[in-house]
Amino acid sequence: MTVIVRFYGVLRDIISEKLELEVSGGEIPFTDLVGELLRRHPVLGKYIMLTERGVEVRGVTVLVNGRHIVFLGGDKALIRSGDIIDILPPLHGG
Amino acid sequence: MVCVVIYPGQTILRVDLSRDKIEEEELPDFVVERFVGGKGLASYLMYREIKPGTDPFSPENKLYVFAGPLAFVYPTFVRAVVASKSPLTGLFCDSYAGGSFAIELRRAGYIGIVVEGKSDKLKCLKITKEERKLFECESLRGRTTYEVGEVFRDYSVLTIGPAAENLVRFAGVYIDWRRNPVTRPGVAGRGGLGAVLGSKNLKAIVLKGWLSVDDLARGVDKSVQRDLINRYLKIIEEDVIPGIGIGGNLPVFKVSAEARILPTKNFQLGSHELWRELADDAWARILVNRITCPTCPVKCGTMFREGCFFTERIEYETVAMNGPNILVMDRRALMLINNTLNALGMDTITTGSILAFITELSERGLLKEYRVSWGDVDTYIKIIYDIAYRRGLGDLLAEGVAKAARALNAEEYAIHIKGLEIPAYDPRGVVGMALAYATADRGGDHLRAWTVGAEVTSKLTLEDLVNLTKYLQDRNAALWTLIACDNIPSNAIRPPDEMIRIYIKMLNTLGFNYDEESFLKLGERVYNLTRMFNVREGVRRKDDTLPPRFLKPREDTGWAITREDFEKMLDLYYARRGWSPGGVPLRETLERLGLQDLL
Repeated sequence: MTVIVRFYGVLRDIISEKLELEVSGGEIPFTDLVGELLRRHPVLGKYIMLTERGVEVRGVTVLVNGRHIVFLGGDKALIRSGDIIDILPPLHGG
Repeated sequence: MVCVVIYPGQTILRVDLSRDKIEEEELPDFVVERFVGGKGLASYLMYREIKPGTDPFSPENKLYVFAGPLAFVYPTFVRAVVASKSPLTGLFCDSYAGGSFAIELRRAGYIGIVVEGKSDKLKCLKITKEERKLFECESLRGRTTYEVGEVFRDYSVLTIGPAAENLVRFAGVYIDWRRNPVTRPGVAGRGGLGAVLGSKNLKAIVLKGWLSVDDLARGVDKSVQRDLINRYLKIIEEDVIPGIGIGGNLPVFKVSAEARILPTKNFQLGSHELWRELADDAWARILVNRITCPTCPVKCGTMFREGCFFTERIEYETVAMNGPNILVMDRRALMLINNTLNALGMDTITTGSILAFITELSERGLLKEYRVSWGDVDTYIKIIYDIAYRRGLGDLLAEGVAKAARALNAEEYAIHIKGLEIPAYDPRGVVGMALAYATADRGGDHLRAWTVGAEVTSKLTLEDLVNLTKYLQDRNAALWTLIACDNIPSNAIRPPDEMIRIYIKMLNTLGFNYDEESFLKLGERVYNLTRMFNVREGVRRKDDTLPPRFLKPREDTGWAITREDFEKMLDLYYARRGWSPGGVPLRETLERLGLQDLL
């Protein structure tokens, strides 16, 4: 299946504006998608970590089809083919 | 806790304008121990002294200007808090300003000033070693903040502009505003606290302190003090100064634009194709000087010149709310708007929100009095003056966007929470900020909990998002008792944990006895106290909500917060706080925080 991941701000600078990820299966937990992203782009590990507690973030926001992932089950959210994942960076300042 | 020093952090000056009286008062030990200074003491006194239902413009409302106990004894603790019942929201409001005032207040021997009553004539309060007096100053009526600063050039000056005299409900309080200032000027801009001073006919407080650091730090172990200062300055140098960029929070503009959360056309969109014209790189090309507050090495105050346009200081919020939010993508126009608002003494966030609101109404054919197009700078300047002098429709707009929207039957276009116009971050992507806005104790505000910062690691769960919001609200409330500067922890390139541990040690050198846990609990105590102030005024769950626009998908990205998701988040937040499902702190919560005897 194909999942589109869009990055913003500093994440776009260091990774890409948009990735089309081919992953096996009809749906995968977000945790697995993060594992795949980290494998391909280890630099992302500064912002998104995979620990024994699951996916942990530092100021990063994840949206699935425009909805914050915490309302979809967090890192257990199931990602399906055609889903659009938006990953926003931490915002410095305030 | 046993306080062995706390000198002179317990003395306040009570100024009664109705009776023309100035009196010193000692705060009891247990109050200082439990509320420390700054926001803590101001909140405590507000809760005790301002009766529910008090009209913010009545003589019965009071205004509190407080420093924190660390001011002058340790570097960077320069902020003063101004707090009162807000004429914009009718609720608790605190707003913070840098500059020299907090330090000079402490050097005069006071931790705070309470202003109450109302004078028949326009007055100034002067505090020097030789005298503390109220004096008539009719000659200053109508003068701008800059002009008042010039008149008292040798003093630290806290003043209001003409907008506050005219009771514009979002008029601010200005510290040390002068042309070509030597130290960074400060603004306590939010919530219309300047208008409270205007209602009392107090134009300015001018002061010059005389106490030395040793006077204020009497009994403090000098070697410990020196060591803490050195460790702190090292963190500032290594972690904060590299993160501050050109200053003025202007680097945030690029991040917001790229993350598509930059308010554009009254929050209809999240970025603008010309955003680079207003990003920090563009401002850096016209930067002429950077200035700082006394004792602070950070230099976040930015001065710009482009052609004949010059501005002493401009911030991200001002640029975003009066830039893309009204489609003014020109730096010189922004400097003109910024200078006009600072001179007249009006909050730049609220004004930007109002200008966007009426432009949208005009575009939709819902406004007869003004015909205003997006980016129409000349009309915007005219409207700003109409508001400041309450002329025509400006008289209604001077009430703030919430009241204006009700009168114009246009509430769906008004972007505010509890009457306070929200600042320059669209929360439809960054949902944690939606909860932070909705539960901020002064209305729509981003500073209580900056949930999108990289300073704390959290799980991607709703529970962690809620916990993060509560933690930051409590932590910041505690930091504002000191009063720590917002520009420092939030701009650090590493988590500020060690910095906060040093703050607590600094506090303890003055006789307090806090650790990390009790310090966080202090913040929670203060946050619940301000909530109780608002609950007493009728605030409940229905008020912890979002503007209608934020509950609809944004047209450019489709990002949205649904009502169902938001209410679920609020349920968890109340439970985590120990509040009822209706948003009222439970008795056991108040007891746990040591507030039961106060309430």
